[in-house]
This record gives sequence, structure tokens and C-alpha cells, in this order.
Amino acid sequence: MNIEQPPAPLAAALRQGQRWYPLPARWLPGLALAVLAVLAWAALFPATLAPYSPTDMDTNYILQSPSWRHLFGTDENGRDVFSRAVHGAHDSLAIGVLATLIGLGLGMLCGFIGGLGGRALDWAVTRFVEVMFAFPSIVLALLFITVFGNGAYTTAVAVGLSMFPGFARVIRTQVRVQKNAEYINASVALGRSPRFILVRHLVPNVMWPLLALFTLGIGQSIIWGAALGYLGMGAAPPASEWGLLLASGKNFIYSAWWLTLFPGLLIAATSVAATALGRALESRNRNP
Amino acid sequence: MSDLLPSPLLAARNLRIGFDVAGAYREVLHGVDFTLQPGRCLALVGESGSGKSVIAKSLVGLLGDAARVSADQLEFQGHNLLALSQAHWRSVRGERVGFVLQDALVSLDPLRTVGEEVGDAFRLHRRAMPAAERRQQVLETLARVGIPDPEQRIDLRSPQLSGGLRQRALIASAIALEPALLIADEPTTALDASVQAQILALLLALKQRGTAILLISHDLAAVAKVADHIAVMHQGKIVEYAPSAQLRSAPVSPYTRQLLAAIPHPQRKGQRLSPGPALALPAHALAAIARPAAEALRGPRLEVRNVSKTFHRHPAQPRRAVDNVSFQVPAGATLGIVGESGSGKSTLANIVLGLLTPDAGQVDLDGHAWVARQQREAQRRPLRPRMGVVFQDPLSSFDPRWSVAQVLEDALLFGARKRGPTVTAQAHSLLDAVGLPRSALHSHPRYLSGGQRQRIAIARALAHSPSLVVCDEAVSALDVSIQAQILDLLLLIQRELHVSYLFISHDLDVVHHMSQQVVVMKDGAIVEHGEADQVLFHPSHDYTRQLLAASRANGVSP
Repeated sequence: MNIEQPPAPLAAALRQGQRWYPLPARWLPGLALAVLAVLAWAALFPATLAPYSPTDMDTNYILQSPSWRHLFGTDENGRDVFSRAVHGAHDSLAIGVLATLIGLGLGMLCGFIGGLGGRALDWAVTRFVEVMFAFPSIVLALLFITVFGNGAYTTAVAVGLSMFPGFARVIRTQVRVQKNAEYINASVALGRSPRFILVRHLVPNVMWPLLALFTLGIGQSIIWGAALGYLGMGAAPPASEWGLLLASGKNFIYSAWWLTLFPGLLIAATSVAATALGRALESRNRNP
Repeated sequence: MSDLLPSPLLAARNLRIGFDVAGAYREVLHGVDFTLQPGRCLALVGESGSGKSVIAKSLVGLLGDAARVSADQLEFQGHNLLALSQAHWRSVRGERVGFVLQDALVSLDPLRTVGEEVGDAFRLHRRAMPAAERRQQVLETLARVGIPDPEQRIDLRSPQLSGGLRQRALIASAIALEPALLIADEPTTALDASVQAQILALLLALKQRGTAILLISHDLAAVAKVADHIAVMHQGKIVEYAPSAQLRSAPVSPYTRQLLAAIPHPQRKGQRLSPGPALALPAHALAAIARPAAEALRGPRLEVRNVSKTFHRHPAQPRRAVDNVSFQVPAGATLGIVGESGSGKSTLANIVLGLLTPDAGQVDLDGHAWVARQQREAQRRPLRPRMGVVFQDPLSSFDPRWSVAQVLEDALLFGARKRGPTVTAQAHSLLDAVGLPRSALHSHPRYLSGGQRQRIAIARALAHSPSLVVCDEAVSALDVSIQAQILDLLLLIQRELHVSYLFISHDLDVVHHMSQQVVVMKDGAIVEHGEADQVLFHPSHDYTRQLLAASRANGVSP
């Protein structure tokens, strides 16, 4: 028998196979929670954080770069970008949470009806969801906004509508899997009513594993809301929703980078924090 | 030991294996010696957790990074396995050692054909081999493991194969390169008796053609026919190591005797299978779960009359899963149903449980209409407390989010019984009755052993003092010694509470041990129905004789 000898350092490296993180992974959920807490505070009590009013124009300070006086600089009307961003948190977060709630609610409705219904009902619901899927989400949202006018809440409904087919599909599949599980049979054999089985067994077992979808959805719909705002179809000026801030900054992107960089960073930070929290909840849910 | 011949294929001396768990080192194998000569078969037998699978994994380098292996000697074909690197292992695995994993039914990739799966061995270790020759080699390998019509089956995927053929295909992929050693980890677990007999015969044939086999099983009876030597393992040590005939006929170690006694045997019906102090239900537990005397009814507990069920999954060929089945279960007695997978016994169980509506026929429970075509679940619900159920896999029969306390309290807080003195006290009584510590209430079923989980399932089934408990393959997934404990517990409960059982299993000896009457099912119909001894000792139907022969071929002799 003759076994080839591999180069030793490579083998050692393969054996190690460990990943490197810039900070302990266990800090991540706490950090994400802290970021979201600060943002929630900004959304609820913007005046406590913002040094200026979001609409006050100071014509002496137009398009100032970031300084201690104006942390995020000022825009073309001399408004403090930091204050505007803080005041915009409310609209952006509201769009994120509301849209996800709407999407998840509609998704649960369709998912459970399809998953539990008979063949005909399941067929009808599945086809409906597929038709909704076929529309590009942005077209669906734009259509809704054109009909109902723009504003933060219409944006939330529009984004929620465009998200629900995805939720519906995942939920329906989970329902199909869980409803045939042995513990459902065991519960029927104990004499439990369909309502009890739905509320106490099916909904928790379908929805808890999908908790991460919810937090991921928040980040996602903030981005969608911002995108609509950027296109001028979301929240209306003079609101300072983050997408609007991006849109108004685009004309000065070569001269005043701070107009787009900071709102962009806020959008990214929010969705990253929501996503990180979702992942943490997901893994805790898997091994309680 | 008689294996002191010149050069063993495999030799281990003082083999120790441990794992680093959360910074602490825990040894699971405490110094084991064995040798295996070329062309021989050594069986490692023991309960789960005895360390037998750890040995198998250490021989193919699959223990993972947290494992620490040490030995005075661990040699395969004269090479020191302790000094091998990852790349070395890859050339050992597949090429020189074939490894058949547990869970044959899920070990093949469902998206790939048998030919691709078996061809992998050639693709990895004989890169120069042209595709046409590889296919020829695969066909030969498939023929070698006794797969009929390999030309046709080579292009099938695993879901299209029966359990027995899947296990053969898996063995084919392990022996494709004609390794000197084949390691088979529980190769027959979860297979029907007749398929099990075929797989053991195949292993025997491979051995006779010169392949050495390391066979790992919890089933002492099953391995005895193939193995030359048996090492009985217990808590990380070999407690007895002897030629297999000697070990079966004159076991020395008390643990081996205990293992042998745990196997249900036609001659030992009515005797206890598990060792230990005399079993008895604690008086308070008995009082908590005994059925009030006024409830004692005349007549059968369960009466099944002319039940039929046809599935129309493929419109062209409807499958008659249950065909005009009738039987009765008397009060305080057990009716056993035995049959291979696909015989319709699970469909029948689901009909009896009221989970599936039959096309025709009727089932009565305690003299009340229970299941019929028109019967609705709402009508059945008031009677539900009279029937309990124990499924094959207890873990999947509990809500995955619930603790033991939630499972038991959910069962207790329902039906006739109102919120009694305290539900927790009743849950404690149930745990006492099934022989679990009360502290089990606070754990999650996932962290209990298979036997403990099945005890929880039994406790839940007893929550409402049922008159009938349906046991659907309730011990099939358990080790022999745990199976013995659960069977003893079920018999004790029956004696004390006069509960009836409908006991469904593919294992003839287990069914015989438990039942007064036995029903044999084949293709949805009852082929034989009679007293348990009558069916086992004087079967009248050919199919029953076949089943018996297969079961005997696995090592048990009546």
C-alpha cells in the first residue's frame, strides 16, 4: 500500500477550517438591538436627538460639508441633514414595519387558506398568488400609488402588497408540511378541535420558524420604501423620508457627497441590523 | 481469543476515544481491543451509546475535529491509522474500506441514478477509467450484490427502489472497489424481517468471497448468523468477546445474558424481558389513572367490521390498502397485527384511530359507533378519551415547541377530566406510572433518550384512562434492551389497568410476545387470524410460514 503525502501546511489549513470575525459573534444580536433601539427612539422622539428643525433654512450655510456644527452637513437650502435624517426615521421605519405587517398578514391569510383548504381552494389561492408574483413588485407598488396617491402610509401598503406573494408561498408550504406531522394526528387522537389545533399547534409551528422572514422583511421594505421615495412615488416632500433625502441629494452627488452618503448609510444600517437580529432569533429558535 | 494468527487485517489495542465538549474532555470509549482477520466478520453489538458507532467512524476518519483518538495500536493492513492525514483518509475510504451508513433509506441522493451513485467510487478512485467501462463495472457490482436486472435498475433513482434494493445499492457503492474491509453500521435496522434476512445473506456471501466485515448492530440475534466473532459492548467497553456460536449458547458476561434475555422469544412468552427489581405501578399512580369500575363493559372494546379503503393516488391503478378486514379486541387483552411494510397495517391503524375515513365498513369502540363512512369527527370527539395511541416515533408525535410538562398537561386538561386537584400532581402520577423521574417534566422531549420519549408517549396515552391503546410500531425504532423495558411496561400497565391493546408491528416475535390473538396481513387483507401460539407454531397460511422462516433466518430459533 502506498499512500501519497500531501503538503503539510495546506493540510493543516484545511484541518483548521475556522472563520474569522472582526468581533465576537455573540455580540452581534446585542449590537443590532442597540442600533434598532436608537432608530426607534429617533422615530418616536426626533426632537430629543435633532439639534435643528428639519425644515429650518439657514441661507448662510448652504451645502456645508460635515462639521461639528452640522454632523451630516447641510443641503442646498441650508437645512441640517442630520436633523432631517433623524426626523425621517419615523416615516422610514413606519414604512418598514407596517409594510411587513401588511405583507405578512396577507401572506398568512392566503398561506393558511391555501395550505388548509381543499384541492380547489388551494388551486385558486395558489394561482392568485402566482399572478401577483408575475407582476414585478415595483410595478405593483407603482400601480397602487398611482391609484391612491403618494404618502408614507400608501407607500407602506404598496410595499406590503408587493411583498405578500413571497410570504404566502413560504407559509403555504410550511402549513402543508406541519399539518401532516404526526403531532397533529396525536392531537386529533386526543380529541382536540380544529380551532385548537390551528391556534395552538399550527400557527406557532408555522410562524416561529418564519420569524426571521419578518425582520428580514423590515429591512427589505425600508429599502423598497426608499426606492419609491427616490422615484418620487413614495412619501411626499417636505417629509424627510430617507429615500427622499437620497433623491434630493442626487443632483449634488459630485459636489456634496454627504447628502446621499449618510441617508444611504442609515438605510443600510437599519436593514443590516434588522437582518442580523432576524438571524439571531432564527438560530435561537432552532436550539432553544 | 483465537485470532492470534500472523497478520490481522485490522488490529486495535487499548483504543480510547473521547470528545472535547464545551472545553471539557469526555471519554466515550475506554480502552478496547479487537482484531479482524481477512475474510472474517466481527460484530460489535450493544445499545445506542455503547460506543460501537464511534469505533466504526474512527476506522474511516469521520469522527470530526472535536474527537481525540488514542491507542497502543490501531493498524489496518499494517498501517498506523492514528498517523493518517485527511488526504490519506480519502484514499483509505472507499478504496480499501467500504462504509455502509445507518439509515439506508435516506443515504442515497434521490436526484441521482443508482449508476451514478455506485459509479462515484470509480470516478473518484479510478479517474482514468473510460465511461463505458465504468458502466460495465457498475453493472457487475450491482449483480454482485444481488440486484435483479441491473441493466434496467442502473438508471433508476432511489425513490423508485424498494427498501431492500436501496440497501443493496448502498452496499454496492461501498464494495465497488472491492475493499478489503466492509464496515456496515446497522445495515438491517428499519428493514422488514424478510428483507433483513436477504441483506444478511448478502453480507454472508460477501464474506465467503473474501471481504472482511465489521458489522455493527444492536440486534444480537440478527448478526449471529454472519459474524464469526461477536464483541458485546456496554458503556464504552467490550464486556464479552467470543466466537458467535459460543456467545449465543454459553454467554459468560451477565450483560450478554441480559441482552439475550431481552429478545422476545416464543418459548419465553409471559416472562419478563428486562432485568431489575419487580415491576409494580405505584398505588397513587394506579388510583390516578385507573378506569372507574362502573365503566367495566361487557363485549369487545374494539370491533372492526368489513373495513375497506382504496387509495386513488394514480387514477389508472387504484390501490386497495385495506380489504374487507374484520376483527375484535376483547377487554383487557391484546390483538396483534403483523405484516410487512405495504401490507396495509398502518392504513388500518389510521382508520381505527379515526384519522382516516374508510370507504366501507364500521368500527365500534366500547359498543359505540366510532368510525364509519358517514361518521364525523365532531361525533367522535366525546369518545376520544377512551382511545390512546403510541406512535413509532415519539418525538414527531409531540409538538416540537412543547416541553414534557406541556405535552402531558395538554393531554390531562382535556375531555371528561376537569382541572383536578392540580394538573401537575396528575402529571407526576403519570410519570411515576411509566417509571420516569418527576424531574423529566421540565425537560424537552428532544433531550430525552428514545426509551424515555416512548415512556412519555405512553404516559400521554394513559392520561384519560383509555379502554384501548393503539400501539403502531411502538417499539420498532428502539434497541433490543430498551424494547424489552417498554414491552414489560406495557404488559404491566395492561395487567394493572385492564386496558386493551391493538399492537401493530412487523416483528413476529414481538407481536407474539404481547398478544393473545394475532392477525397476519398481506396486501391489505387478513391472511391468517387466530390464537397467538397457534399462528406462531402451527401457521396455516404459506405467507405466515414465509414470514416465520425469514424471522428464523435472522437468528432466532423457536
